[in-house]
Amino acid sequence: MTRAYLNFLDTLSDMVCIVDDKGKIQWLNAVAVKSLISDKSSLVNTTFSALLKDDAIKRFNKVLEEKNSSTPQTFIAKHELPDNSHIELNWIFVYDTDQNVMYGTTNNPLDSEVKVQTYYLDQLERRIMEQAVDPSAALNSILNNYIKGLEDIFPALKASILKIEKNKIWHVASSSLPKKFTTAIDGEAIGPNTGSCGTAAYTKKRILVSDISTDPLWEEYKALALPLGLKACWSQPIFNAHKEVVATFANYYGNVRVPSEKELKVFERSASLVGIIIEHFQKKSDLESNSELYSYVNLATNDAIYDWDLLENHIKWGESFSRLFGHTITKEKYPLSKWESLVHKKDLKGNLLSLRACLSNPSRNRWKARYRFKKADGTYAQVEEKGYIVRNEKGKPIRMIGVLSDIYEIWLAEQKKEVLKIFSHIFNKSIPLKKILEEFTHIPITQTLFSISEIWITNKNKNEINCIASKKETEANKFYSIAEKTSKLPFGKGLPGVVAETQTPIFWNSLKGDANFTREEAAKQAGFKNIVALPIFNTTGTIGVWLLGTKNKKVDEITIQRLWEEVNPFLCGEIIRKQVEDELTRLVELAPDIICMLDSKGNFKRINATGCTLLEYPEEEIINHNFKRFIHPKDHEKFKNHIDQLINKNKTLQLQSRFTTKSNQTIYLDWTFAVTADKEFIYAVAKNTTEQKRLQKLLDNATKMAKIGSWELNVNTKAIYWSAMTQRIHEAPLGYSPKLEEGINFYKKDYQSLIKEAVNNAIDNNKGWDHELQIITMKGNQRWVRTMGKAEFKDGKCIKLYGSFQDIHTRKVAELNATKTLSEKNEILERIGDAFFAVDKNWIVTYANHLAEKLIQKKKSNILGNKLWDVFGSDIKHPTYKHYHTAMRTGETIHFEDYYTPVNKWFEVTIYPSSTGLSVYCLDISERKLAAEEIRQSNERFEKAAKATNDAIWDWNITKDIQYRGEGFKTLFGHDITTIDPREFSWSEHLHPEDREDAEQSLEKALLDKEIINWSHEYRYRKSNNEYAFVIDRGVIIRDENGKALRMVGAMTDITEKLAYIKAIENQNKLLKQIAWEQSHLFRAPLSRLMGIIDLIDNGELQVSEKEDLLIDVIESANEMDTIVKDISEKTSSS
Amino acid sequence: METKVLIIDDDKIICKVTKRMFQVSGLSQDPLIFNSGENAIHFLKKDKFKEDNFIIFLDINMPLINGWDFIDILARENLLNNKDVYLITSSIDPSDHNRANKNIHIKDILIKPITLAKTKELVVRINNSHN
Repeated sequence: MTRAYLNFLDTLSDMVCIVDDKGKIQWLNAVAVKSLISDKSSLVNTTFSALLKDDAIKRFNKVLEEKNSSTPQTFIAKHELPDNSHIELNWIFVYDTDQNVMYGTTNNPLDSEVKVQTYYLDQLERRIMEQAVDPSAALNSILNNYIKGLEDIFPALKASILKIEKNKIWHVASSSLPKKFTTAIDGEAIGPNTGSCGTAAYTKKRILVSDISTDPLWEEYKALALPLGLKACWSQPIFNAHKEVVATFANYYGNVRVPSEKELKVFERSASLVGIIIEHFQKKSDLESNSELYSYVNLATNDAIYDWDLLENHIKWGESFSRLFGHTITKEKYPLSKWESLVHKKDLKGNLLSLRACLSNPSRNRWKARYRFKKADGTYAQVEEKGYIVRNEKGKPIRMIGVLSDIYEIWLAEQKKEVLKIFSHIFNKSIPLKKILEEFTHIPITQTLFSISEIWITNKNKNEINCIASKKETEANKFYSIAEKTSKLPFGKGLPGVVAETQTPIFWNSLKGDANFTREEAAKQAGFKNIVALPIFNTTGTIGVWLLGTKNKKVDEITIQRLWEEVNPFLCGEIIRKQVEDELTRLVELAPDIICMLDSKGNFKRINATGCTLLEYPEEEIINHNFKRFIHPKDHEKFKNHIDQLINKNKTLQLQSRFTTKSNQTIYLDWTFAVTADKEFIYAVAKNTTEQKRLQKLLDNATKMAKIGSWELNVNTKAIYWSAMTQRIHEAPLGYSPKLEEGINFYKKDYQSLIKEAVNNAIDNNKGWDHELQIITMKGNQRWVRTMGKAEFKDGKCIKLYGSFQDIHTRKVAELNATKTLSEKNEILERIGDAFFAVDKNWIVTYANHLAEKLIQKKKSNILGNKLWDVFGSDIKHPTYKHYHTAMRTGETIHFEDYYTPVNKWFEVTIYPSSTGLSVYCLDISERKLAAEEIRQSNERFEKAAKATNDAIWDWNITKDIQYRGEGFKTLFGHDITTIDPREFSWSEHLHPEDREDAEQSLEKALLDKEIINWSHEYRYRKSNNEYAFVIDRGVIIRDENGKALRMVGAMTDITEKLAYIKAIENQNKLLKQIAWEQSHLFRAPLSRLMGIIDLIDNGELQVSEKEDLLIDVIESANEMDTIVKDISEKTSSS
Repeated sequence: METKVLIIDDDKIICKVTKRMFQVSGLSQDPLIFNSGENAIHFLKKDKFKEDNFIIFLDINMPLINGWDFIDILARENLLNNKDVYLITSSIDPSDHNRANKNIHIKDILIKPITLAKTKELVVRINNSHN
């Protein structure tokens, strides 16, 4: 062996040793020296066995014995290293016959170490997983077993598992750590500087502390750890499903130690397994703590645990497998293909791909998948599978251990989320509800696409349900061709009707049937197996029903129902919202005004149909175009400023502007704007005021021709506005607007106080005026004008006066001239002692003297020039009207008497016709008439008396045969006297047929007998309800001087009740008699008995004993009599 | 042939007193007593009594089957031959008396109380009619 060769061996990272045939060490390379012995001098004369222990010595001796063998000899040996840690090395020895020495090498010692350790680690992990699957196992003992196993494999290691609860750490498994250490650490809070584990738990990161003595994380704990021989600590946080740290896994070493890459791998792998075990137990204990499930999980977890031996291709299922999925477990082989056959065919491909990818990647040892798994009853369970892959030293998977969990609830929640996502997507479209619901019918539910899907919506009255949307699918063609066409059902009829009424889903299937299903036969013939009807409802009632049909044999009723419970409120709300939205859209579309939306730059974003019609552009030519395109150029600036103001000051504003239509017509629009909160959009409503504008213009022109102007006074500022015409009448320059005082000064001095008064009266009392007055214009001309004024009040205060101003100069002057000539003649007439007035052929009053003025009680100015009928204020049906007309027509003089109520006087009126009209004299004859009036008043008093009395009062004018009847006829007999013509209401017809003749005769006789004044008769009188009342009718006959009966006044008194009362008394008497008779009869029974006994005792010659015996009977009879007497008195008093 | 005497009255005291009176007056030493019409009819329907002579003292006012019903039933069954019926009543209702007079089976109507004097008088009347 050359020195150079030895030098080369020294550079190797593998250990090399040369021993002689006796096993004495000849040479060790540098790595071996460093690793195996403390100093080189101790090499002298040592045997290789000294570096070995127990079993390894034997194995080495065996190698020496078989040194001549041609194959290299190998054995595994455990060595204690100078730092008291242990490594396991795989030695290979080759014998050199020439040199008579053996060359021993290890592969890279760390490599070899890890390889061997991996093998043991696999063993350990498998054992631990098996223990974990055992339902009776406790977590603590499993974890302790695991770390003990780890410490056996890695002798230098002290492992520890801590659990984290409420941010504090507790040792769960750490049997090798000194008790002093663990008790001190237990209960410490996690934090950013709390050793390796506390920090790892806090930061959720792996913490590798290679030297506790220097690391700041251990500052607080090193005083505790170092004296106990803990020098390095690596810690890995362990997470639960929610990514929370539930535990830490830590490796402690007795020396300063930086982990190698491989060590890290092992460390991670161990932590990962601890994580799986803890998660598994957490799930188990979660289930156990759930009292509802407790009975099921008493013996096992609710997850199906499996152990898949890949070499044998056999899956061993835990007991819960059959309970969860209903499949029986037999002793037969359970290859993966059997599992494949149960995975839903749509999930299988993905499952296999990911499983294979996972298995073939040696760096992965966990597999997770979600899929549908067939149960024994044919339905599918939603499961999540988590598997842990165990690999051999070559990384080949040999075993997979895991669980299948039923994740129905999670899956259901996801389904709900998914469905709601689709629903809200559809409902967010801006299309009408009907279109939405049609799209809706194409949605699958719980991953099933139904071939019949109908949406039924209830009417507003909630008593009928209408099919609004359904999809037309070829698969359903047969059904619809057979089924009766139904699009409307009352509540309670058909599946939709019943569901609408009961608000409970119905699941129909072809085997079960349902009496309510009107289209059942069609569904059966068309091959439908399942029909589902789901109510859409809220607290206000049923909104609609969703009817689904499928040819699938199985429908997951529970899932649909559960899903529906969650989805219904959303759907319900969305439909109602959409209904309202539809209605609003319709409203906007049908509104007679333009309703539109603009962006802040004035571009149209939306406009209703009315807007398009008015502007004469189709919608697409308006939308996204600026208002500039449509507005009258002169209004452009105004409109733009307005919008800017709107955006900046956020006000609802109004504006008038002109727009130009497509056919170049100008239209006037009154705009009202509102801006959205984000100032992005402006809502605008515009009223078409073109027609109003046209009319306004027309009116302006008309007033110009009539020389009518207008004015307005602002009461607060006293400023007057004059229209152009008003200015012209005043001969004032254009634009002249005076103050109130100035305005009044235009009137002639004589009129100024009058107009001031009128203005004040208007302001104070809201009284208008209409005066014909004179003004002096600015150019000094006198003119007659008619001024009219009115006040406008707001909140009880006058804010404005306005009115008209008309030039009437020409007319007024002519009028005044005419009046002047007349006035002279009038003087004579004024002196006449009677009232006198004259009318022309048109009934216009041309003259009235001062007495007539008094009579009519109006000022002359209000009488003259007006129609006679307006003056008297009576309508043309008034009887006097006839007289005036007769006179006018015939030219004859007419006299009549008239009572004129306004002055309470009677007049004798004489009408003299003349060539120009009529002259009328009225002579006051009130005194003469007074007497007659008294009679009238007495009649009135009678009438009032009639109202007051309870009797039915009548007043019969015999000569005219008219009867007046009082209120009593209504109150007593129900005859409504106000609605019945007295001539139609016959007395005799209301008499009872049996009493009629008698009564009529009696009355006739009384009337004929001149001596009779008072008449009275009793008879039955028919009431309005056709019952008869007993009445006493008493009358007084009024006769003329010859004794002829002229009038008769009387009263009918209803005596029905009195008669009934008398009758009741009579009945009572009768009854009492009867009682008395009956009772006396009863009374006789014991009495006669007694008399018999007495007779017997008296005359029967009886023995004493017999007499005594009879005495008992005497007593009994006496008692009976007593009872009867009491009875009688009771009965008579109660009846 | 022996004549049997029957007293039919729901009033037990009356029956007892009447019986004693009949004994004292010698009308019958052993009158038969029935407290309801039903029992009496049942008794009279028996074949062995069909040919016997009976004097029946019958109360009109009885529950269920009253005196009048009793007579109607016996008449229908043709059982009234050789039976003399005396109605007993505390009623002083003239209609009862009219009715009694019209019925040929009714010998007389006796108004309660039955007294020894009345019984003795009855004994004489019966004996006379038999002789």
